[in-house]
Amino acid sequence: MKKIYFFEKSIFSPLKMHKSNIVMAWRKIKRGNYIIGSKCKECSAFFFPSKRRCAKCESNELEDYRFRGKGEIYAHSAIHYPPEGFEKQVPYSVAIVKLDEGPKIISQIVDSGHLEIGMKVESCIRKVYVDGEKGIIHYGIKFRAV
Amino acid sequence: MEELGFKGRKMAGIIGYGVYIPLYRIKTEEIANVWGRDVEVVKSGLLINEKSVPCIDEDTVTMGIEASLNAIKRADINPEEIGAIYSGSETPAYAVKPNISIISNAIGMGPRHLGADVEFACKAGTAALQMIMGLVSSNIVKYGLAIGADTGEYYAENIGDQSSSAGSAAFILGNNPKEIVAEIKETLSFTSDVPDFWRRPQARYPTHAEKFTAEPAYFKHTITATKLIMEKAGIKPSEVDHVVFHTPNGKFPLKVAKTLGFTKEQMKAGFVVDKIGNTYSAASLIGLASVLDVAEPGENIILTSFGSGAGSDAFYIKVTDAIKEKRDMAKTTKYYIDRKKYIDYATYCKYTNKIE
Amino acid sequence: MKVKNQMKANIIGAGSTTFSEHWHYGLREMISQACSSALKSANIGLKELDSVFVANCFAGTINGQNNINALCSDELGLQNCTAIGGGDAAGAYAIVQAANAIMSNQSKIALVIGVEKMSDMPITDITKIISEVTEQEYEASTGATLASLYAMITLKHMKMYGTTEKQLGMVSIKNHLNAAENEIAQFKFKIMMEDIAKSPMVADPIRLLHSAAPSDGCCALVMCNEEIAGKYKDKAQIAGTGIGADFMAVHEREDITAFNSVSSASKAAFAQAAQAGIKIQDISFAEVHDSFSIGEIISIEDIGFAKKGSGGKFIEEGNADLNGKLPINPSGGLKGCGHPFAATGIRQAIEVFYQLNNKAGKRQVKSPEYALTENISGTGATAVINIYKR
Repeated sequence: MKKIYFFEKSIFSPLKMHKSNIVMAWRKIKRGNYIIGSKCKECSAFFFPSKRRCAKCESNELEDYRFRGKGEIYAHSAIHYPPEGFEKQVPYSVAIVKLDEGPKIISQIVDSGHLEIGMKVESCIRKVYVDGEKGIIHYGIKFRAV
Repeated sequence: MEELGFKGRKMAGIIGYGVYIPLYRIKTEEIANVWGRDVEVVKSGLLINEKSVPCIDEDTVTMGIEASLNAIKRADINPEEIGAIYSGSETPAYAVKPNISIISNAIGMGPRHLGADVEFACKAGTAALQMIMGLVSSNIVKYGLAIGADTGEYYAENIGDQSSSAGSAAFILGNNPKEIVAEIKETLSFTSDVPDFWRRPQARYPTHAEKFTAEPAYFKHTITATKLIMEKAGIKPSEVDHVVFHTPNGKFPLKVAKTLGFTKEQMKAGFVVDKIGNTYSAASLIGLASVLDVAEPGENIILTSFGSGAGSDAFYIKVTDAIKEKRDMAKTTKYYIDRKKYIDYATYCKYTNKIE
Repeated sequence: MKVKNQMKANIIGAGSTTFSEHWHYGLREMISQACSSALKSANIGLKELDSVFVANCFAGTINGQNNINALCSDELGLQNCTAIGGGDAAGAYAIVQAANAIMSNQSKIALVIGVEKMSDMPITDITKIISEVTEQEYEASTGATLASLYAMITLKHMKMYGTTEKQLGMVSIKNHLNAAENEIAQFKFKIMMEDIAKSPMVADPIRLLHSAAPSDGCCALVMCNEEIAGKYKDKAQIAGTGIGADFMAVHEREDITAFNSVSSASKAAFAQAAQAGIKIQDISFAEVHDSFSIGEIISIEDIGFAKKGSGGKFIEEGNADLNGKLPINPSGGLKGCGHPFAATGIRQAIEVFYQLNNKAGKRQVKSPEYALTENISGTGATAVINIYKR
């Protein structure tokens, strides 16, 4: 009986056997609690994600910059059809947040009730994706209303 | 063997502290009605009106990070200077992989620090505090961070689920008298082997031995430890300004207070369980933070935690002048208690993953 | 690039499976079906082909089958097969690659295939796999789905230009109406505004009936050089091609309601088509990428058919209807036909082939001269535009 059950399971949901790409997750972990992008040493333009070349003044002198994590909602949407792994959070909202420094970032919005364009938000760390019962927990940046 | 005290060592004191309590609350009657319990009986038995509920994407790591960031704000130090971090919890994110490695990376402590996760049921947070005290007062590290955090949970059908809630508290200790906002002058622990409340690894929820957890466990250890610390500190109950006990519910700590001769006034500043429930390893530490938010310089505090299994950690703390300029540098305990959104039982089950 | 007497590439045959949940067919069966049909329509045998281009997006993830060109060689018994990727623009990319091979005389007759099999998995797994065409590190990993990104683009477009729910609905209604006359379409039923309003919310404000459904399907084209095309009555020639790109992550774009990939691809395509004297006003109809209703509206604007922000009005005034000034998606588009990701670009070209040669039956556009296809990947990271003449 057990054999048949396993066979059926693997035919209809092969992805459930799939483990997260651990190393890809680890590269993100190194950024920790912070939204890390770039600041041009020449013209002070901000970029997120990090860039190696300034799109404004063409300089190659860019340094890592840690954004303060404050901004406002630029656009938002409540998701009702989730991807695998996010079923238990439905409905959840994603938003493009315009950081105070200028660049935009996409992220979930939590603890915030009704969302409006222009709402002030601040960053926090939450669980983003839990890889089943045996895989790792992916933590990430989300935003909440101030 | 008794602890030897601080002879010849530096005094460790609190230089920064912070708490985090999730946004969501569920009222006692909301849970009681589902299980056909008499709401008034439950409320008067537990003295809990509502409890905090973690959102589906929160856990002791995310709450530990928030509390630590508040503590760092008050301590006003570079997180890289924190030399040790211990996190006490009975609901860590992983069974193997410590909360502290995720938290220390997230708050920017860098790789050079000591640390590990600690477990002793509800007194894991204060146990972590004692470990940091040792490292700081022996000057092995300049600053140390102790966290108590839990997303307490229980079998849905059991009365224990009326009180188990979520929260975290973080304390940064240092040994520079100029930075200390509250000196930890004495500490001791009283421990014995009592199977009053436990969880085997394969079980999702703990089991408690009902009435047995009261007299031989909670009361015995809390009362004994408190008597001993006051003896050590050489003070009488009437000389204590604030007293904080672990809060498995509202009734037990009030009963201990009465037995030992403390008044409700002395309990007031640190008594928050009626509004947020039993936050397990964070409970007595959130109570302490709540006191520090309002205490006057020169006042003293007795804190006695309790962890099933069983043991109590007791502390004698004296508030300094420095508290006044530090305490408004981050969100207060009151801010987190007052910041709330009520949810119904179904949402509660969804957020705490009770729905398989 | 102005080269005199440049050899042009032509379509001389087309074939397709229906778009549906083909539970009984795998990749091989669909490829065989579509290719036999295409070869038959061009009246040529396998032996006369000298190159094959196959576009595919997800066979590696969904069907565990990578190396898709090897699968085609195996199934069709052909040697020279190249796999083309590129998200849901893979179909149009494959056509461009085949055209390049033909124009540089490396190939005389090419078979261009687009195949996708998406119904084999549950919807949440498919939703996660589809987000592979969005930016992985900063978009998909946060839990944002392709639909939610288009939803935010829709929200901004509505706020900035006053685009209405009604206009979005009219796109779906028109495309379903057209699909009813298309044999290969999956969704051959009429829908009304109330049906759309009642359909479940996918990602606010996009509802199920604003969204093209992932589907199974395979389309194939036979393409050849001008010399061989001269022997055929039915043909369609590529007069201009443009490929454009934009920031992959929506949040990196200055204005998220503008598909810069489409506007630059359009500019490039019309620059080439100008050599044949074709201007944008000459276009008789267009097949555009309506993966979500807002996609058609923004495409109309950014290709240049209407001013920025007035795409909704263009739809509302009936210009895009089958008997309108400039029919858009006479085939039913992605919404009406279904969207097997890599096959869509080929399907668009097939519609052009039928329409330009008066073979589109009840959905025939009146005397079309020049046509345009626009195939986008993801949220507009890349766009491929082809302009056709007879």
